[in-house]
This record gives sequence, C-alpha cells and structure tokens, in this order.
Amino acid sequence: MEKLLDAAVAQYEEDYPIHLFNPMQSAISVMSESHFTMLTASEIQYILRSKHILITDCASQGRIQFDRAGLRTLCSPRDTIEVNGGFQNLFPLPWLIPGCRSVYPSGP
Amino acid sequence: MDPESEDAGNSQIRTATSEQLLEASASDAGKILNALEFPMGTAPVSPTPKFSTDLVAWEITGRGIPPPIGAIRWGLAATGGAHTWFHMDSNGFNTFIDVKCGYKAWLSIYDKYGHFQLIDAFKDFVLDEPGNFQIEVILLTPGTRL
Repeated sequence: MEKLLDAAVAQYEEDYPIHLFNPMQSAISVMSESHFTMLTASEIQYILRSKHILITDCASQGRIQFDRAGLRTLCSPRDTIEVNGGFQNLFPLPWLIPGCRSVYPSGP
Repeated sequence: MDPESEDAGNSQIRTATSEQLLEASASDAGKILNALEFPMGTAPVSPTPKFSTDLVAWEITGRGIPPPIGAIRWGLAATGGAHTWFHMDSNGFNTFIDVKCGYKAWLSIYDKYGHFQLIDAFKDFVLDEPGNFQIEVILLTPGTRL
C-alpha cells in the first residue's frame, strides 16, 4: 500500500496532484453539486465514460460521528456484523490526513 | 495466499459487533477493522439520479412490490488504516459513495492515455514498475460524493 501511494505521489507536478495541475489528464472530474445538477444525463454519461465525478459540496449528506450514536444509524450495537480485519498496519502516508498516526518514520 | 483462489480477499472475515468496532477505534493499538455491509433499507432513494433507470424499471416491472432498497443502499464503517484492494464496484455498474465521517483515500489506476480499462488489463501491473500505468489518489472528506 505504501508503494502504491508513493507511485501516485510520484506523479505530482510542483507538489500538485494530477486533478489540479492537469485536469484533462486526471481520472477525476471535480465539480460543485449545483454544476452537477445542471448537467444533462448525456453530459454526465459522457464524463463517466472516462472519469469519476467528484462533488465537493454535497448538501444532501447528513454528517455523523464515529461514536455509538453514529454507528447506531447503521445497526444495533449488539447485531453481529461481518468485519474484514487484519493485523495492525498503520496508514503509510499520514501527511495525507491531518492527525493520522504512522509507523513509518520517513513520511513528511 | 494465491490471489486467484476463491478465498482471496475473504480469508480474514470475522464477525463482531459495532460496539467492538468502536472499541478498536478508541485505541492506538486497536485492530484495523473494515465492516462492509450495513444494508440501509430505509435510506432515501429520491430524487432519482437523472441517468439512473433502476427504480424506473422496478416501478414498471415490480408489480407493486417495494424496491429492495437495502440491496442498493448500504453503509460502510471502518477504523483508520482499513483498505480494500483494486476492484470494480457492483460489477461495473454505476456506484456512488458519500463520506459522512472521517476520510477515505480513493485510488484509481488507468492507462497512459488517461483511460480506464477492463480490470484484466492490469493483471501484469507491478508496483515497483508501474510502467505505462498511472495512479491517482484523492482524499474524500465529509460532504463529498464520488
């Protein structure tokens, strides 16, 4: 996973990711919800042929916290759920997420 | 493990409760856990996206039976550091994801022309030698929809 993220960062130019320094080349089309809403179905389909669409200000979303109340919106605390768990393998690029922990000493 | 075996990707599936998920998240030494299936049978499905035909088709062919919302809207919950390997969501049908809490890094891989490919095209992909493949990562935050 660390190599994978390093490979993505290696393609940055002047510290900017592809979707910022070369949007045409990016696999992600960034837009506001109002812009997305104005697009026709065919315009959306045309974009989706080659890109993901990222809406940055999705007003319809509710926010929850990762706490007991938040998880209760998904299921009862006593319900059995399937989890895919592994050994501790902390996120390799902590600078991507403020406050994230890392065991890798070389990260910026 | 043989990545092509039937068990690939499922070898660590265990059962737990959401309470245990919460306990794992509270400790720096907690296990990384990834819960991928919370059916949301009462989730809103309107307004229907203008390019989606699933609910329109169900209305016409469903003979009055309510649509299986829990099968098309579901929640995910994971502790920090959880990841899944490359895959196509929902058999390649259009999928969206809303982030309601925390962060999710999304990686895409595509060819040197910036085009997505059938996933088989990346069978020979080697991390140390990405060659003509490009990798892009974007951080999804609460309030974003991909």
